[in-house]
Amino acid sequence: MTRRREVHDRINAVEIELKLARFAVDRLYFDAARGLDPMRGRPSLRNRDIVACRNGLEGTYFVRLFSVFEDALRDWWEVGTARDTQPKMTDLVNGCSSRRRVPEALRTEAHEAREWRNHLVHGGDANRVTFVRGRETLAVLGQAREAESGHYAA
Amino acid sequence: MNPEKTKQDWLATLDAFFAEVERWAVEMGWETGREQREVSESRLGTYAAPVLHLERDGGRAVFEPIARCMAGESEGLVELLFWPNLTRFTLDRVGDGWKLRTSDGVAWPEGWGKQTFAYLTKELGVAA
Repeated sequence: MTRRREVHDRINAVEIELKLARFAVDRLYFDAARGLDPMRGRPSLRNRDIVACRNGLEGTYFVRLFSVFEDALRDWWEVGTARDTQPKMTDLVNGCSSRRRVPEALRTEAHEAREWRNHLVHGGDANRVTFVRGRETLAVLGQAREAESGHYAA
Repeated sequence: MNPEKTKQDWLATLDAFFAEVERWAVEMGWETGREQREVSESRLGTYAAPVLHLERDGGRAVFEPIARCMAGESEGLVELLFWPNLTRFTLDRVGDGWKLRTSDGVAWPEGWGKQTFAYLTKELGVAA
């Protein structure tokens, strides 16, 4: 399996988990809205926990999505460029974008995704990035190693 | 950005949008209702935003505001979720209109409006 395929497979796996989790939690949400008691028999869980879970679900999976992206970039840095340092993600995104000559708009989107991930983990101000938009951006930049070896064309 | 003004403008935009949807939803025989949800945004703080519910023949459609401060061209995001098939769409506020996308991010070719909503509910078997 190529590295490019591996990154895509990992991103797809996270997305499928998100879709399934959403489906399950949305069912609970509508059951509660229809006056049913989906939490019956589970005293440690309440209907308001469903709301909190729905609100946080996409962020949780966004962090996982970003970890796949970060892993791919660090792999590119260590193996693709043969360096033994631990640069910040800001520098990795800039370095990868520069080496690959990616459009400025794509680099901006990658930084927006990075800032949103940082907000989710550490707090601070950031504009919201949807999972779908993040996936589109990060999937392209996550192919850095193949680009270095000439196997990937954007 | 003035957070308070941005928030008030966003709430006014939502109110006008939902009022328009309610108007033609009633014409189509849907029952309508609103509730409030808490939205937290780092730039705007935590605020109460309206959620629009439509119901007809056992089918439901929920319009749920997600955030005003979005990356990219969007000036606000509303999710549209249908029951019973649990199909999800997003509506991005762009300029003076709304851009409909599937849950996979594919832009809907038709503009958002009554005809699109009627088409979606028919094709998805919601309130058929």
